[in-house]
Amino acid sequence: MPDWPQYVRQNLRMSGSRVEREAEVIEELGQQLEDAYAEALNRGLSPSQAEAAAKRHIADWSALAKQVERSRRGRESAMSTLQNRAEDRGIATLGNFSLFTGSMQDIRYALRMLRNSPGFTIVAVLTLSLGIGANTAIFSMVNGILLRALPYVQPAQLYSINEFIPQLSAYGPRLPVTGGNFLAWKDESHAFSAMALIDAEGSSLLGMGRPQWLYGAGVTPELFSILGVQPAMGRAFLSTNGIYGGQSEVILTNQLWHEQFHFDPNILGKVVKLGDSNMTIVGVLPPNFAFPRILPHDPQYFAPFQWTRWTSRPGISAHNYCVIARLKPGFTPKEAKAQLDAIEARIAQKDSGGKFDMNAVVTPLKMEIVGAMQEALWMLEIAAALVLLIVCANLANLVLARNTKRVREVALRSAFGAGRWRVVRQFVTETLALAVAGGCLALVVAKLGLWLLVRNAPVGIPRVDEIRLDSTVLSFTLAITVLAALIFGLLPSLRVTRGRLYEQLKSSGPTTSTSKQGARLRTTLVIAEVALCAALLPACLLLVESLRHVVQANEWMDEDHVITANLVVRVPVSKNATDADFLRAFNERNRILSDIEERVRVLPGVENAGFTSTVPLEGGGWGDAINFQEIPLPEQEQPSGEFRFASPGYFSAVGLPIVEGQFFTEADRTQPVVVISQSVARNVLHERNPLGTHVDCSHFEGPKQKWCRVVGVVADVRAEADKNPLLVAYFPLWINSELTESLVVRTRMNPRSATREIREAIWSADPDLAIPQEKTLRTILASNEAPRRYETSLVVLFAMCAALLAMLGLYAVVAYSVTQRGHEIGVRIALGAQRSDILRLILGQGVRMVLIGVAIGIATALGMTQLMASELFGVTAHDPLTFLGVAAALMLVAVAACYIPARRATCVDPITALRCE
Amino acid sequence: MFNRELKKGSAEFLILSLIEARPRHGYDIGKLIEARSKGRIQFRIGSLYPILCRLEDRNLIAGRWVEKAGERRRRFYRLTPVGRKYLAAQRGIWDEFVLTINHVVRPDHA
Repeated sequence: MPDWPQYVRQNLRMSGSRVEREAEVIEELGQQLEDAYAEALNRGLSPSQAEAAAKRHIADWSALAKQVERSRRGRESAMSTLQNRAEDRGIATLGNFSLFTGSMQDIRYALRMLRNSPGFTIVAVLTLSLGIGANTAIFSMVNGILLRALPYVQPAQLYSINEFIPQLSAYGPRLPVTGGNFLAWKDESHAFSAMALIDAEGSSLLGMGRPQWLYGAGVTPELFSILGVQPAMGRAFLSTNGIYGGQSEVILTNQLWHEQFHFDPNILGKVVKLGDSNMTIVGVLPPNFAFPRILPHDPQYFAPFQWTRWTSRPGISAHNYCVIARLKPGFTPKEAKAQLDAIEARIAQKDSGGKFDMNAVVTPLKMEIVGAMQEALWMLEIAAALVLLIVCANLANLVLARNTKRVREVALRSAFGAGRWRVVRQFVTETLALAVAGGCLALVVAKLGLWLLVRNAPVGIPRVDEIRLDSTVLSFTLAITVLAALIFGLLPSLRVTRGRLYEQLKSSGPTTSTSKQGARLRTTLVIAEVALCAALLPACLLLVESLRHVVQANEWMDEDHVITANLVVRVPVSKNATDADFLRAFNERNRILSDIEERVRVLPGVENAGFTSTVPLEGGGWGDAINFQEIPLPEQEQPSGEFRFASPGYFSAVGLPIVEGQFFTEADRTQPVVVISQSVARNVLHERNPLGTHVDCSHFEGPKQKWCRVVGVVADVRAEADKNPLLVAYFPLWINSELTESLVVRTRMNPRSATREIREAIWSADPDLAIPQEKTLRTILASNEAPRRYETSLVVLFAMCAALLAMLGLYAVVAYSVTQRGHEIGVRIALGAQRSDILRLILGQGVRMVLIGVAIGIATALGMTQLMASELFGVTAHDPLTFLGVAAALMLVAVAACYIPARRATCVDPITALRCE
Repeated sequence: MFNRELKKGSAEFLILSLIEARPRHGYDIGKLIEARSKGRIQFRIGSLYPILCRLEDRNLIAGRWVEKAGERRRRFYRLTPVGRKYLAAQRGIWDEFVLTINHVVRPDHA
């Protein structure tokens, strides 16, 4: 029989076709000619006649060749062959499908592939859910606290206004406002449509059983219209409220109406006794109203601010009030500030004769409320993002290793016509499927994480009730899910589709070039993970170190048997009171305080008791210049410090040790005396002996004296746990006292039972004295340290996760490398390499990666830690010990992570390894 | 027997209709055309093969190699979903064409 394929091959000249495709055409045509030949034989023709009859089927070979070449068949016959084979094996083919059907096929195929690798899928989904879930939880906090608009009408137009005096910058970049200055702004500035003044106050609610302490706010009438809120019942204050002699009215919060008045439907018009005033309830606020958190305590009631000649006097003093204002449309904050600055300059010039300058500070209200949280929250967000990046890098390595087994599949797909991006799309679909599964589980993780975060949030964190999983957070989750899929999916997909098709089809596994490039990418990913980890760990350690210093600096306050209670002892004076009236009221207040102190001191178990105007760590008190007679300085150069007013028993009650001299005692009642803190002696008096020097005490309520003699130096205290010690001068109560004085009691008794007895002792002296929540020093310390502990705990958690993931990634890469290099190791051992040489080889590989990663990470950390310098205490942002410690710790852990696979490499049997090849 | 142009124009239609019921290989298609047309339409291999290539280009048919026991492998062609729709449309066009031509040339039978 004629060789028909040979006949076709000789006659059909197809130029430019690939060998395999031409072969297919030849085979088919040869087969058809053979069929024609066989049929001719069956008809009875002789072999030569049959051959001629068959040959007549194709007369013009060149025309046939041209037609076949023009067709895609001629170009892609091999593709169809492979496509058919692939279809037979159930491999998803990529032919002429629409985008939608192609995507559906990709999804179905991706799910099938993931189902076939349950271990990989579970690990990937779990780690993704943790990484995405953590980010979602933290972003929920960022969104609720920082990003979400305030719940008021046109919140972007609301601003908080403060004052700043450059010469008194020691008191901070923002001071509360003087009442008279506020009135001047209202009269003279045009940039704001309305302004309101707010004063933090408190009163005893009397006549309803035991006196209840209520936190309130004295406000000017415009407040509620500025915030865009109206009482749910009754009305807001009239514009006449608060002007000298205005009505005594009060508006309750919904919560107070519930807790004290049990939702009494006839509440409006009722008269209640708040302190020494009878107040008529004119309104109840809606249940969803949240007052901006700019006061130390959320107010439970609102009363009209009572102007007096003292509070309405403009000047550089009595900075006691908050101001909220609504910017007029058409004005910018800068223009508004410029107007206020002009007014401030005039007031400062008039009041101080040019010795002091004064500016207005105009801050968006949201920033006023949440500004202190910004740095901490963004740092947490960065830490969470770094952890997610490490998760993605780990998964990219896993996917890379997995993809090396699918090189042949990729080659088949490419051979039957799938473009590179089409194949990449398939792989990315698989990673998207993983990421979506991880993202859905992440929502559960986030919900749980959020519950824990909110439940354990320190009291001072603002807008905690705004933290929730809303549509913004869900969109964020979706975005990072897709981003994660692209990060850990795209790179390995691009890598695996880059090889040469023919080599991949020919070989039984990945080619040498594919292996080498894959190994390089895996190494790069591990270096990136270690770098991210090394960037995060120094920040974590610096925060831990700061916390340790804070705890150390304040450990003297870790006392459970020292109980404090803030008491407001108000002795009423008439509006037309004279100086003698004020002195009488002052003496009466001191008598009450002394009486309370005596009754408490004799209680069983009480070791000591005393009063102070400000307990340590409860913020600042009376800020003033500490002016020494012996060191005369111009007013604007006098050191800014704090005046506190205490009874003699206070120091031993609170546990403040004397450093030099002695405390003032009752015997000093006829003497103007003062005790100063160590910082004052060190920073103001320097080498001079502090005892016997004199401090200016000329502007107090009590008996008038110009200079008070220093009789002692006590240990330092702080306004907040992580701030530097204050410059404090302690004056005796008989020289001056404040409206709020804190009782401090040191007792041997159990604090709970001691508290009951202390309350009874106070009420026996004054039955109308309401007592806000008592606290121990330990409670005060804990709540002060709580925000820092909270933040540090979270950063530590993220850093530990990052370190664990990075080391797991390192272990996985080194272990995989040992598996891949089994043959090489076998050859080395066969050629005489010792086990220790192999150990050094593998360990060296791992250590090299870590060294590079650590170097990059530390360099990055040097920049990052500088940004968080304000969060640190007792340690610098570039503390060398911390950075060295991180590098050393990472190296040690890395060696440990590499040791197991390295040890496994030394156990390779060279005969087995060589035989497998 | 028929005009070359007529044959050429109907070749694709014929091929598609013959593989509608089941896949067939190239030579089989040519023989079936000849048999059903009682020899009036014949396609040589050299003419039919390029048409099969074109149809495959347009995704109207799909070819695959099939190996049966004791035989050399052959390339069978089947109708694709797109081809099925195309064939249905062509049938409609053909029926209408025939009707229209008849209307013109045999008005008494219209």
